[in-house]
Amino acid sequence: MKRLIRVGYYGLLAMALGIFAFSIAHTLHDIRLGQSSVVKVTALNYWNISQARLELERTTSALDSYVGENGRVAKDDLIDRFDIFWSRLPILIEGSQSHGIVELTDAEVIIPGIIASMKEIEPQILSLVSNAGDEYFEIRDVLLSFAPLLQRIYLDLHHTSETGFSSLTYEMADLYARHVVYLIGALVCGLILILMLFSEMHRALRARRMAHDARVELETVINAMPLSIDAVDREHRLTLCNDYGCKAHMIDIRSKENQHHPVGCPFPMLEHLNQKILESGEAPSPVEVNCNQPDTDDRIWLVSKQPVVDSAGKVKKVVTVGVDITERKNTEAKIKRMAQHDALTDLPNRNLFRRRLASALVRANKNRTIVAILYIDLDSFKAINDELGHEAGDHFLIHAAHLMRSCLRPCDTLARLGGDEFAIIREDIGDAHETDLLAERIAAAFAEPADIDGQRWYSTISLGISQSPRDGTEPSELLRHADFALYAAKAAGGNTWRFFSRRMQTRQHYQHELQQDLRHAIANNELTLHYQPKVRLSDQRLCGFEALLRWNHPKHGLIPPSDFIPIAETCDLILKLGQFVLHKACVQMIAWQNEGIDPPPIAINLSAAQFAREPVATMVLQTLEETGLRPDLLELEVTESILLAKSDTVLEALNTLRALNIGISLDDFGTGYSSLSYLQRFPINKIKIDKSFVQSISQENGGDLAIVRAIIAMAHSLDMKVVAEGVETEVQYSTLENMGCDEIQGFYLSRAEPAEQLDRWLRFDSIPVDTRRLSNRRQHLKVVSREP
Amino acid sequence: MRYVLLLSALALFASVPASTDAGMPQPTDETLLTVTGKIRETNAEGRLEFDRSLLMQLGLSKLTPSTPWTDGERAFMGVPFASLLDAIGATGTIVRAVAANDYVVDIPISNLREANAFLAMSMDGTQLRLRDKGPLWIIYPWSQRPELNRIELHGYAVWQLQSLHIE
Repeated sequence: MKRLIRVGYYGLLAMALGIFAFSIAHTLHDIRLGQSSVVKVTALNYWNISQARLELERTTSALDSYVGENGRVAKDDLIDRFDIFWSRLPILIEGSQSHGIVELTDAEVIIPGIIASMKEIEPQILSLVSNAGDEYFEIRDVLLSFAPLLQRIYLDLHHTSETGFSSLTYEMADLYARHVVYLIGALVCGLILILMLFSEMHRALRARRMAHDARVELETVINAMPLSIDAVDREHRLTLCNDYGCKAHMIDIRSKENQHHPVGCPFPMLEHLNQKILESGEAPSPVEVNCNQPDTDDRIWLVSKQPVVDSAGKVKKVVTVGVDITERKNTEAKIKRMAQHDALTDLPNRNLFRRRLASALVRANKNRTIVAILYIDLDSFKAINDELGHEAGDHFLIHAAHLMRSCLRPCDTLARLGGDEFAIIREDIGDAHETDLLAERIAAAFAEPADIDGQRWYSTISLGISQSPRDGTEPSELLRHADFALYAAKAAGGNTWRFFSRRMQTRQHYQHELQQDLRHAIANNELTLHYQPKVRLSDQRLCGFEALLRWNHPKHGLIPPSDFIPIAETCDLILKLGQFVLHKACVQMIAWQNEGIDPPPIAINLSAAQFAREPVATMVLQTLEETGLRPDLLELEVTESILLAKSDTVLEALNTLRALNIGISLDDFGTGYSSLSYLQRFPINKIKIDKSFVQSISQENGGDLAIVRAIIAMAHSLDMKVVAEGVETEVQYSTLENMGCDEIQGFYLSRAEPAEQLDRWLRFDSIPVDTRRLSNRRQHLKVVSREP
Repeated sequence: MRYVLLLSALALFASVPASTDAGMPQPTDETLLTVTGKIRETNAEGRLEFDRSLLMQLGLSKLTPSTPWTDGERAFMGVPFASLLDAIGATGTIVRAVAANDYVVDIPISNLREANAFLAMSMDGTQLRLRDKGPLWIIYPWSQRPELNRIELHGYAVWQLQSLHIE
């Protein structure tokens, strides 16, 4: 559509121009024609005719005067007049001045006639006398005849010129009209041109406005971008700097524009690149630069430069674009830090710790120095976490980190490996004593109680130490050994440190092995029950057995329960063992019954782990039902620690069991954390005095004697029986007897023995004691009655 | 007495050349042209009279123009007006030309000089008579200088010239 308009435009324009040109040409032509026709008839034509007529009159008058007024006119004058008149005749038909007359009249015919006549009368005039008669009239007639001829020429000229004039006028009018038309054409053409001019102007304006808008838009975009954008020209003048760039680099573009830039080039350290780019036209790869402004922090920029090439291919400017990547760099550094540091304490994490250990070992190897690793475990962290909550636990961890850090040199590495485990790398150690001192110092730091959430908590630490090159040269090896050492420190009760020894490793290997083997011990029939008899002091009769588990390891031989029970307690094995022991004991009791023996109650040890992991009452009752053993023939020995944890569930379980007349004994009494209130709360009917108290009897430790006495008294007042464990000597025996202890158990009587070997206890009513021990007791042996 | 007679005779002698002046003799023949006005030379009372021979003494030359009153080119013999003006010592600006038929026109001297005006005395070898627009006809070199062929200048081409008055 637009193209059509354009074509129309140009067509109109061409037409107008054509009309214009044609009109001009035509007008000029017409004017020329008109001019020539005007030229044709000029005033000179009239003048010449008039002059001819006038001279004729004068000649005629001179003739009349010469002849009529005798002598007034001289003959010479007459001749002159005649000649003058004659001279006027050729003018009318010769030369350019005669054109009008010749063309418009019959002058060319008439005048030669007149000249011929003149020639005829010339001699007559020359010979004329003043008193002439007939010659005078002849000449006069001839002259007079000229007048109408001239008159005719004159009139013809007048008429023709009149019409010519009028036609000329008409032509002029017509010409005028046409001229007007052509002028209008010119005007129209002019108008079209003006219209087109306006249209072009409008278009140019619009284009300029659009270009301006586009430029403004581009400028806005450039200024809105969170990038520093600037351009320099070949003379290194700053020609462009966007708002962000000006602000970031503190450039005032208005004052600095088009000037050289001693201050205010965005990236002065990269200026040298501009010259290179201007010459080569190649853009370098982006560069990271550090821009330090005087009053603000350092910021890191990623700067890239590009050449701006004009249409001729020459590099005109260099554009620099900078991105502020400080945040990104900071974030990267932070992530890196987070990847290698613990979030809570900001200590190096396991990753970084391993890395540092590796490099420390390399250094130590080169310099032949010792590197020590200290594994640290917070002894009561779990208690703090459970009691006071995780937030308190976190505070404590931070506090612990501070304490440890304060004992170390800046070059030592303190890392948090996770949970409440920390580790230290110490290099450049001269001897082991240094490490020892360090461990002592750290442990001492924890001697002071920590103030956590307003409460004071004592938390001790356990440390395990391994050193290179003695305990290994590989990081993993050293770590493992430090771990063993830590385990040993914890096994020793905590609040201490242990240096690694091979034995630890051996021991832990051993323990691990045991655990594995224990799993199959039941199936492999490696487990047996031994029974240790208990004797009632009042009638010295057998009153019960304690079933003790024995493990006959194929490789290691007989392993005491104190070795493998703790291992079992750390995992579910304890349940299996517990069930096994109970079941086997009950089965044995039934077997004895089936043999006709009336066995005394059997006592089974229950572990706190069992109570924690399963419904013990259910298990016991189930086993009794399975085996068919009477509940009153069963005694369950629990340690004081059971009563500490989850007392409600335990209480309920014990009540259930006691309700069936199953005996509940409190084992190892006096060694644990128990409070006397438990004795009332829990359905206990027997207390077993720990063997440490019994042993102290023969040492004549006054204090302990008093305690034993007190225990017996207390138990009796609570209507509980007292059993003394670990009785080995006569003195203990008699002392306990004197104190009123109810039952005794120990080597003095017998070791724990397999069922087959208990015949002598079961079948005979007496106590088969060793004669060496009980020399003068023999006679006191009585037949054991069945009643307890 | 004798000295007074001698002195007056000398004075007489002296005046005689004064009346005839430098090279402007008196006409011997019929006067063709009378010049009056601001001129240096005179040979009669306050005026300069030329006969044919006097004019011819000013130096004849030839001019062959076509004229607006004749057909074709004609050969004219005559005196260049500039020579005439120099000879008579004209100092004015306007020349009033009067012709035998009482035609009068004022011609600027500058025009006469600049347009190379020519005082024609004969045409095609024949002396110009009154009836031939003679005896003196001011013509211009129209053929050589066609720009002079303008109607308004035709009036300067005075024929049957009788007198010039320099103002």
